[in-house]
Amino acid sequence: MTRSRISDATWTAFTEGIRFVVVPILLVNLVTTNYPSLKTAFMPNLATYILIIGGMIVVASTLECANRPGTYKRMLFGLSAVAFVCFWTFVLFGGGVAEFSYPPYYVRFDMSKILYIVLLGIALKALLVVQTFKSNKHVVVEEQVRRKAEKVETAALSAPRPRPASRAPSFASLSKAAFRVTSDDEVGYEPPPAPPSKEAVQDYKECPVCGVKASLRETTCKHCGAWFSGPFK
Amino acid sequence: MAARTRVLQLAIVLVNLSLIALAFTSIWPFPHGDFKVHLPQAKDVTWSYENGLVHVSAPYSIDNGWIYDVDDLIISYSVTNNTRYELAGQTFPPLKIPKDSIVPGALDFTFDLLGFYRNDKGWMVFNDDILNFDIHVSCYYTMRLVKFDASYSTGVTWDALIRSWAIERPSSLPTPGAPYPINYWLNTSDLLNGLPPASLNISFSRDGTLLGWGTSDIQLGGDRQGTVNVNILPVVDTTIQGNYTFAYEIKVLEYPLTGSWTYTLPGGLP
Repeated sequence: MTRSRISDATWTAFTEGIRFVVVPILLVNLVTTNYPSLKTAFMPNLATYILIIGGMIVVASTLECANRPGTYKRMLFGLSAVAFVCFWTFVLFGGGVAEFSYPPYYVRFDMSKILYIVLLGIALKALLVVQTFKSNKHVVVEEQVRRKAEKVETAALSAPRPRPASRAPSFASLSKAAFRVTSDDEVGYEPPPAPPSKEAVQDYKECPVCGVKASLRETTCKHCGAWFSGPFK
Repeated sequence: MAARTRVLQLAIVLVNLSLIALAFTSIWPFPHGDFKVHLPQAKDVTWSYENGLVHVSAPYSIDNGWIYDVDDLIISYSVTNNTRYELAGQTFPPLKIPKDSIVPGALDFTFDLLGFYRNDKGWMVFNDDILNFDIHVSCYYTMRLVKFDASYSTGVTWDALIRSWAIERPSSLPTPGAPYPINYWLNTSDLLNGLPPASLNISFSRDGTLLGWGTSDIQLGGDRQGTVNVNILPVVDTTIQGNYTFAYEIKVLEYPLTGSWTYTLPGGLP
């Protein structure tokens, strides 16, 4: 986690806490104090619900920001945050049904359809989360590949020297021998090639001019002075 | 890819802005007063009485001063007395109120008080009561996305038609040939103002034989009191033994009020 990501996450936690916990609780207290006749489905414990669900939003959003774009974690926390925001909105507005009772009047507003449409609008943010994931996924994959390569390289550099060959026989350590398939009475290994005969090995050279034998080291003929061609041993 | 994300972001912002605008314009007219339902107040209710029927009219109006039509406006009401006996009730057919218009109306209903009286349910003829108006208004707003329900209950005081009456009890036997004055008192509802007066008839008899009589008209509405003279026949001999009876009948419209006192001689007046 880089430093900027930590500061992003901290800032998100702060702003989301203000947006989804502090300000709504203050507003709810203001409304319940000034309009005691207003009733919604969750009104009796609304502040508690806001605290709990708002807290979940803050945590999810913070974790979303703490992860890099393109990671599954970030997408998961982003989608969770969107779901929590929808739930939070539903609870805050009491399912879209509000009742005012100030005798002799009783008024009921059922705005649940509008609330569902608004929730749909909020849920559109999920598309953005998915889109962010898709557009940044390749960066993450490339980086993973690069890191893997770096890791392999580092591992290769710091790897210990190869051990001596083990005593167990291996094919590499066995001597090669040509195998000749012959008639049944002659099954066997081909005999190794015969060593070169001593006659074929010359430890002198002849002068191409006068024909006098000379040592292989000589560069000129001691007899006529002609130059020998190499190699010289 | 970044451009695609931007476009998506912009689209989401636009959708959300339009949704916020929709929600705001749906809620705004209610607190701001562009959509108002004026339900009838107790002071607005008018009453009239005719031929045993009580006619009640309670005006209302619905103002739709905002940008959306009101659909399926249904008004229903029920009127009960204090014992929860239903006097009237109705559900109006659904209405549509176009934007920027006001629809006035009235809850008009009639109940048969004389019928109640004849069916031994004449409590309201002689006693004050409270008529409970339970009115319910429901309608759809913002392209049927918002449902509005309002209920209103109010009690309207009902004054008894005949609140009280009294005929002075005779304290002595009449003198033959002389008018015998008897005081009366009648208190009726102001609702009966201007209607034909009540008639008071008093008779004096002995064992069923008429010995004298007197009549008087009494105006209806409010407190009325006066004296009616019972003309006693000159040949009456009040020393004869028998049952002497004063009987009266006050006929207030279709409602007769009767009573009598009987004295038996000898023995004197009770």
